[in-house]
Amino acid sequence: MAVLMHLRVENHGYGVRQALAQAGVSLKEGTLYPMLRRLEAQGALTSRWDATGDRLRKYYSLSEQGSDLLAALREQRALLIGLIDKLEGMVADEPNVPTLQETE
Amino acid sequence: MTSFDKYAKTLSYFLPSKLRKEVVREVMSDLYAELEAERRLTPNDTTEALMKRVLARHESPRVLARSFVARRSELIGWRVYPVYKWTLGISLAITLLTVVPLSLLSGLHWQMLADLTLSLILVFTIVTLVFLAIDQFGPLQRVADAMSLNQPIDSVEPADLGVHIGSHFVSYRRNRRLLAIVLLLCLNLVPGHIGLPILSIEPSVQVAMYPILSATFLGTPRLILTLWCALVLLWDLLLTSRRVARFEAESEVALQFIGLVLGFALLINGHIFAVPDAAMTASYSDELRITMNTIAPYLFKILVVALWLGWIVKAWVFCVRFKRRLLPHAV
Repeated sequence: MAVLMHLRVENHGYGVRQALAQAGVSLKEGTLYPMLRRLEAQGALTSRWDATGDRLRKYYSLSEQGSDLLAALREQRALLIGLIDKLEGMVADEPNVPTLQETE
Repeated sequence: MTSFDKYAKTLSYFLPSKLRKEVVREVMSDLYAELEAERRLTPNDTTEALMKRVLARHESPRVLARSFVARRSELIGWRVYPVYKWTLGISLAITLLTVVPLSLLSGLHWQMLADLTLSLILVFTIVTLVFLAIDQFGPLQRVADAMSLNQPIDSVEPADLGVHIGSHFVSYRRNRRLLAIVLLLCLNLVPGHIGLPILSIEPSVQVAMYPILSATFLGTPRLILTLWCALVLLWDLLLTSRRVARFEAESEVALQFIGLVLGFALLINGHIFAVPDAAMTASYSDELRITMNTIAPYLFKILVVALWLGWIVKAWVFCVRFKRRLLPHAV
């Protein structure tokens, strides 16, 4: 999801890694590049080679299918967070059961 | 050759052929972008120093290449698989070369075919189990690490291939190192027990050890071979020094020449291989005993020659593959 979010605007692999690193997420290239290929094969990303100067660069961007996937992932995340909040609220209502913060 | 070039070549070597071109191009373009970013931070450093700093933050090319290969459950992991394949090949070849001539000379019959099948299954099972243990268990995995089986071939240099075929191939050197260690241990710790297991199912199932080495060999020739193994290990150790590595090609040719001379000297010596004595063959069937007495003096010489020829063919095939993969312009 983090990778998809950073490809709403066209970017290359190194750019994605940099953006994630700035956000405090370290992603190894052995994870990123195969993931980009898989997402491209699934149709979530489109790519193009660009020759700027003397070097070729591969740029990725979100396809329409990828935008749908990102929206679906966001929906799932919101659902999951709501569910965890609800569970935590239920636990906090019970007097003898320690809350998550107390457990930590 | 820059550190980036080495990285690209190693990555290219380990990637599946259909992904190679595109993945290497993409990874390298990103590495160069990172290099430029690094240069802006420390403009006074040399390009090579910057490259090394950038690569230090990255995974090994072998690990990166591995991440592009679909995961599957493996009995023998990728770290020890090349050595496993090599050992299994040699073991099966030895079994075939010893059992097939016996069956042909004594007339093809079911007992021999059963022996051959059982021997092949036995060899396959033993070698696979040993490597399974090496791969799966912690302490033995550390042994594999110590033997540099996990080390990526980042240091591969496409040196003059016409001068020393195969010497730069890390897997070849690793196999030779492994063989030298095994020989050193076996020749000095259990010289009398080096032999070929022969499986017999008549009159009952039994495995008899047929000794390979004669009493003469266990004297001076064994000492020479031991020195040779020690020389190989010492040479591998010295190669870790950058100063010595500069003369790698020349020294490797010298080392291989000494090995060839030693190999031929051992071959023309008539007293290397043991001839089965009456006590040893007493439990064999008449046919097997006559066959062993007739062909045993020549059998192991044929085996050694076959192994040498196999090594030369393998080195040649490896050389062609090396040129095609790492030096596409050279083919």
